[in-house]
Formats: sequence, C-alpha cells, structure tokens
Amino acid sequence: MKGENKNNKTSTGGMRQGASEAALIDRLIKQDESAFRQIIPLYQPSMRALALAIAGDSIADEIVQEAWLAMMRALPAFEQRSSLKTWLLRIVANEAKSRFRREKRSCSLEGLESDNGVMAERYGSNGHWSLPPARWELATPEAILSEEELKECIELTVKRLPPLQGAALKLKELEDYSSQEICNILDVSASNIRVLLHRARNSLYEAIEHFQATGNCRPCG
Amino acid sequence: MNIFRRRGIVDHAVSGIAMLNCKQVNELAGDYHSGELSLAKRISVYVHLLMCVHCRRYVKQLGVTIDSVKTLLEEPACSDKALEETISHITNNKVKKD
Repeated sequence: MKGENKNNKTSTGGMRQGASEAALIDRLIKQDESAFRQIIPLYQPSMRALALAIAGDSIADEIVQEAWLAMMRALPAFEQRSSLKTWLLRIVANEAKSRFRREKRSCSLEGLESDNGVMAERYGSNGHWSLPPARWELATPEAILSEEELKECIELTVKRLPPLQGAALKLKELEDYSSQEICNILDVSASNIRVLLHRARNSLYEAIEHFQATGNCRPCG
Repeated sequence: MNIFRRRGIVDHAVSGIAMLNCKQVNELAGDYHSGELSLAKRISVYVHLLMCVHCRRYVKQLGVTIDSVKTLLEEPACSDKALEETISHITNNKVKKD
C-alpha cells in the first residue's frame, strides 16, 4: 500500500476511484462475497495499523472486525464524499478511540498536555539553539536500518508514542495521506494534526540522536 | 500579461516571507519535507537554512528520520488466515436486509 496516491481523483488501493468504486460499493451492499475478497487484502493492513497505533495490539484485530461490520451497516447511507478507504479508516479511528477511552481512561490520546513540545528545551528564549543537533555518524536510512538495535529502538519509540501521534504518523508517512485527510480520518483540527506530527517526528529524531550518542535507546518518558 | 501575473504571485509570496528563528524552523521542518508549506513559508525556511548550519543539519537529519521510519514500518500484507477470518466474521454477521 505504501506510496499509493489516496487522492479521490486517481486511485485507492489499486482501484480507480469513481465508477469502479461505485460499482464495488454496490456489490458490497448486496453482500457479494467476492467484493469482500477484493477489498479486505487491500484495506485490512492499513486498518490494522491504525487500530494498533490508537488502541494497542491486544484489541486491534477486534476493532478491525467491528469496523467491517460497522461499514456493512452504514454502507447504504455512504455518500461517497471521500474514498471508501478514507471512510473505512475513519470508522476504525472512531471505534479505536472509543475503545481506548473505555479501557485506558488515565492516559491521554493526544499527548498534548504540555505547552512545550518535544525539543523545546533545546532552544533559548530568543528561539535559537541552546543545545544544537549533533552530527550523526549513521547519516542515511540504509545506515540507520542496518543497525539492528537502532531499528528496534525506532520501533519501540513508535509504539510508545501517544495514540493519536502514532496514528497521525502512520497515516502521513506510510499511507501518504494529506494533513487535511488525516484531520478527516482522526476527527482532529488542522492545527492539532500539525502539532501531533511535529511531536511524533521530533520524538523519533531524538531517539535516533540519543542512540547514536550513547548506544542505548532512550528510556520511556 | 503572464509576466504581470507571475509578478503578482511573487509579490504575494514575498509579502508573506518572514525572518524565522531556529525554533520556528523546527516547527515547520516536517511540512517542509512533505511539501505542505505555502510558497512564502517555504522561502522563509530556505533563507534561514542558508544562514544556519545547525538548522541545516537538523532539517537534513529529520529527513533521514522520516525516510527511515517509512521504510521500517511498511505494513505487512494481509495473510490468507486473516482474510478468511474476516470473511467468515462478515458472512456470519451479515446485515439483515429490509
């Protein structure tokens, strides 16, 4: 799915938007099994990745299954103002957020409580660097990903991101959605999406920087 | 005519260009990489980067961070088992038609 254009005017999951998607939706409404066999392999990995980011591994599969059923119920009323996939991801996000709130009330979905973002302490009051970035020895993605422990550290850092930061990051960097589409899927304001992405990217930046300086993954928190 | 029209666009962009400090560049760096900044903001970041070695390094390394994450987190394909489980879940719970 990586690198696909999710724009409504072109393609989604290898399917042309428009007439072919309308025909597919029609078959789904008629509960045609071959239509499900067509879309499940295309959409399920993205749905699971989103559910995983928001609600965690233990209930991600359950959320995805619930989302398919919710889609079945709501499909006759679907107005096709977005692509089927975008709409389906919105259903997953809503289900995952409500499950998260039900089961983990003490944690924050967004991780935006602090006014100062990640890295804010590295700037002086005049907005210039007080703790400038170190030059990385591993300076390309290939070099970084060839270090097994650093790879694990990045994966761990992604897992530790507050749920909506992780979800926004996956929708942006893996699914290639625009910020406007992410607002639509996660039901978050445009300014909050900017902050969520900014903090997620900087957390990962600092994790890689810390690992390169110390050989260890940054402790949680 | 085209020249005037083009000049109009440039004037509009120039009017939005601002001197940024390093912290402001940090806030815009992700959108700078994804191409989601307006022309004026893009020029503002670019001008700052010409002058600031620390921000050049940060912006470059942030790009490396983003590309590493993209490669690392590629979604696994849907397994046949998962496909069959989902199909059976849906068919066992088919929505009753009116």
